[in-house]
Amino acid sequence: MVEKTIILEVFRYHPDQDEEPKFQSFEVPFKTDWVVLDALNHIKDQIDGTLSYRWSCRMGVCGSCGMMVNGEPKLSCAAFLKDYGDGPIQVKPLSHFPVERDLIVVLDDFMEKLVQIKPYIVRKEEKSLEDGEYRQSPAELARFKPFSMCINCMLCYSACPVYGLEPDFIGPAALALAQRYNLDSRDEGREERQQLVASSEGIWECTFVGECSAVCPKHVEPASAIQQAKVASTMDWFKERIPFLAPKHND
Amino acid sequence: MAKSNEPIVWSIFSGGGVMAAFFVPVLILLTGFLAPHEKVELSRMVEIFSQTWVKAAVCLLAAMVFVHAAHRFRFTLVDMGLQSYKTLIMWLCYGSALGAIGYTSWVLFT
Amino acid sequence: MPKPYKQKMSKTWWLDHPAYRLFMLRELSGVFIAVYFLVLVTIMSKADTPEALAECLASLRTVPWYLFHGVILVFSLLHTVTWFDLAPKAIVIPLGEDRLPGIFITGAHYVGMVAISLTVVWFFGVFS
Repeated sequence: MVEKTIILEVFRYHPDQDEEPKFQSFEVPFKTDWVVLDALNHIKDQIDGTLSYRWSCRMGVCGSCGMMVNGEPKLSCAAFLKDYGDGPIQVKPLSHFPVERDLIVVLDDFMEKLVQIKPYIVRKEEKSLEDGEYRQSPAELARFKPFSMCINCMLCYSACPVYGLEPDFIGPAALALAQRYNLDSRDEGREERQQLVASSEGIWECTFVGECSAVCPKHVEPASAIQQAKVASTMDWFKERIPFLAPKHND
Repeated sequence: MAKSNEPIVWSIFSGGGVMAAFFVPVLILLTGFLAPHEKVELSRMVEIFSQTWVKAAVCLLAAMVFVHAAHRFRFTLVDMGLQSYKTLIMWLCYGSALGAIGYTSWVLFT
Repeated sequence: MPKPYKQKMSKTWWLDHPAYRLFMLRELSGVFIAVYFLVLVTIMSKADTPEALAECLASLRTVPWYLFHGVILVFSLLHTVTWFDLAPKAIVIPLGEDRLPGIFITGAHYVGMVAISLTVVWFFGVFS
């Protein structure tokens, strides 16, 4: 019996040799339990060892194997070959990011933005160890939990046309994480984050295309985080300008 | 990095969006289909619209909807790849909204 | 020093995916609604004499105006549906450790819209 195969058209770019990228076709075994990442591993092990791509956990946790599979941003460990019919399946690096080599993109821009929104608990004054832990109720945890599931896979950036057009845009995942910490009852850093979040490069760049939420493998809903931040920032804007709405400063 | 003044436009945009979502389909049904089919009398609509408070309400509703449309169209044009004309587009869009508000107040109140 | 390849965005990206096409139509719906308002206020202010009213009704009964209102109605419904559909993304109602499911928020919007629409047509005498 002849084994069934499927064609993968893989984006290739070698920074020292190529001016322009090209596509290379590979014929790989079609196995119903294979994902695109298995097919790429097969190519690297059996056909062409120079193919470069990132991967680690193979189970949708590490967030490193994001690629464009037939034009959609996907974790390649979660994109089953059987869902693409008889193929061919086109595999490209994540959209909008510069390509280091083959399917590997440059992460620097995202990493810098992530740091800028301070994705950690900010305290005006740290409690001493003797004062005990910062307590939080399950209801308080529930407020931000969905936004805390992000694995930094950057699929949302590839799905976001605004990020493609305006590279300065802070972008979906970073803004969702900003909202995650802003909603955390233990955090006091919202005002610091707002300088960037509520700037013209933050939430106001977003036109609510909504595809960031659609492609998120962890159901983080960055579009929702950004909308909620828009509502909250709009209320801030009015409170800061209308005297009787202004928050009382008791300290 | 400074906080943006976008909230002023965004709040009108949102208000206009809400108003349009709730009120516009039924208004279109009235003037576009029910009135020409004589299910409602256009004369009665015109009469109701001639009351000052209705005029004021319609004017406010229209103003919000114009800003809503201008705001969306502004970003549609930018998203379509005209980022280099961002400022011009902004002025043209909000300018048109102001023009439409002016026209509406003029036909309703003169 | 290796040079990264800069990926270009297609000029017609908004045609490339059904979700992007729907997004563009949704955004353009605002312009159609704005045009409708200009027509609405023009009719309401100009048709104040019996002759003008008759003339206005006669033109509303022509195919181009039916088409106009038909197209605008489709876009305005697109606006309503997408607006209500996205409302739960902006509105979060916490219920202890849970939150009110989005379908209730969207549903409440539809109930409100139907109630408003029925009130408006009743106000203009459709049921009398």
